[in-house]
Amino acid sequence: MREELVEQVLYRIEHERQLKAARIRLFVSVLSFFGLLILAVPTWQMTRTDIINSGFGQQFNLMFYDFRNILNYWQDFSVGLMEELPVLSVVQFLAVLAGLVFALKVIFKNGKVFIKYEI
Amino acid sequence: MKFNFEGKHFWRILIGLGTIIILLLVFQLGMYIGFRKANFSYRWGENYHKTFGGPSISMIDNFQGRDLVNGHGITGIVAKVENGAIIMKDPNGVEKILNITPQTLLKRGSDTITITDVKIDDRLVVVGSPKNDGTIDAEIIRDFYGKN
Repeated sequence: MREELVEQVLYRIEHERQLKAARIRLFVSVLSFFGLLILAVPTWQMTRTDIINSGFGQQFNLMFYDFRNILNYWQDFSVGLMEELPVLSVVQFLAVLAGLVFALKVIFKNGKVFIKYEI
Repeated sequence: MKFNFEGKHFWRILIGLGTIIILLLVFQLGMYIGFRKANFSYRWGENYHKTFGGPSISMIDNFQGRDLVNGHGITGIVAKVENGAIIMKDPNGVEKILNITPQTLLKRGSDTITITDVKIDDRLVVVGSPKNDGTIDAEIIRDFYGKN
């Protein structure tokens, strides 16, 4: 009986410790998620503007209008596309996207712990 | 000491090696593109920078590669048409000379046009091959926008 009581107490301590940690992680990840979501809008607009201004979008469209001719000059076309790609803009948008996905993963993982221990 | 080929350490080493290989290949590709861009920029700069002006040279533009001139893919407006060549101005304000050869394909919509149909302020998209004198042999020129 005494052993059962010790086990129950230890279990409860562990339960509360996990719950506290899950609460903190959940709070931080929800905050990060919404922050990144707000940041995603101007980042996407900046990336879109850079793609249009760099000429990458128009060059890319050539593939749909002159596909057979592009095949004849595929090397110059490929290098031209890579020259015009606004790498930094795309990287920053992808970084925000990766942050959003990671924040979502942490929310789901800790949400499960929270629900499991609270119910 | 035995090495477990089925353990998670083995997979971590394999993934680590694969990541390094991919990064090195991407780095090599970057060097290839960067060299070609720098090479054309140098040739262009030798002949045209002082006359036509060049791209901006702020630190941020340098890091983004905007201090170099594209030689293979050009998008811009026509500044001048003369003597079998088209002078185009790209969005950065850099002027480039496109040589129109017998192999150059000029298109507007589904129509094939000639250099005489190209007018100043037309907006063109070009695929070309840079030459050693800083000009570009145009291979495909397309006018997406029709008459301005």
